[in-house]
Amino acid sequence: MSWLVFVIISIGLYFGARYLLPELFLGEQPKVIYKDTGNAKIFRNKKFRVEGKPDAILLTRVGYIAEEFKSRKRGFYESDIVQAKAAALAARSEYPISSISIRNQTEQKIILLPPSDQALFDDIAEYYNMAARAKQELLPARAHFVKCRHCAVKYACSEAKA
Amino acid sequence: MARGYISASKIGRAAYCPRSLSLESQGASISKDAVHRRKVGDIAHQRYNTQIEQPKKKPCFIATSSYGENHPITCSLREYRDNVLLKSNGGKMFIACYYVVSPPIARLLTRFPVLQKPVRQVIKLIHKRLLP
Repeated sequence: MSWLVFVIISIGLYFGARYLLPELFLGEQPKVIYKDTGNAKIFRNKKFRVEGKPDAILLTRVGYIAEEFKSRKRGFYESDIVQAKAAALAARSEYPISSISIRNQTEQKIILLPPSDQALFDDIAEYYNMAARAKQELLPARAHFVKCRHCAVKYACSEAKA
Repeated sequence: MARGYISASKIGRAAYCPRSLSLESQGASISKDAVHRRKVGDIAHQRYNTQIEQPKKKPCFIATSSYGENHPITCSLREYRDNVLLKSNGGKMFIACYYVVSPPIARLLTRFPVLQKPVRQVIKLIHKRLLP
């Protein structure tokens, strides 16, 4: 009898977790639909004028996931999430991307995306506008010791903290 | 880049530091260490590309995520699976069910490390029972 209770509780927990934490149920080996091999196709979202190539698009049990790989060992930045969202928005021109995955060498983070393209664009709109103005204006710095240390143009920047 | 389109990587860089994106777009020279880091990143990306499509060797998920791949308990449970369970039909059925249920549990343990301690105790108990 106690075994039966255990089995029923286990099944309940399994389906409860499946409902509450869908990202845990991606499947053991997702199917690779697309991968960025250098000369891979660039996705373009005509409506929002965003283009990009996710590092991979995976078909999992919870739907299509656009994955962004970062070569660092640990930690995720806001910019990683913004980049992955923008690439997912571009890839939505062909695949119904429902989540993004950001992976580094030791960790993985999965974020569910809003279903509408407009809501996804609104998430990144601030940075989209900045990127559009970057060539004409000198945009404000987000100086931080760690960021500046790894910045490619730190020697040209008057606000660098490294 | 196609005319009128903004690339995802530029949007990401605007979130990292808008000034650095401005400077690079306006032709500021890129530091040597950044060039080197980009090369290292490209190599890591190539490695990632080959890794994602290689079928993984089936691990003992829960034990691996709580103890690590090469821990003696993980290794002996793996051996138990290969040498005992896989030799009977009941064992094969158990393994098939286990591979459906265990990957989400393993991910749950990675996400909530606080659960790892009690799970380790349970695995230790099972290990003691199976392989005294």
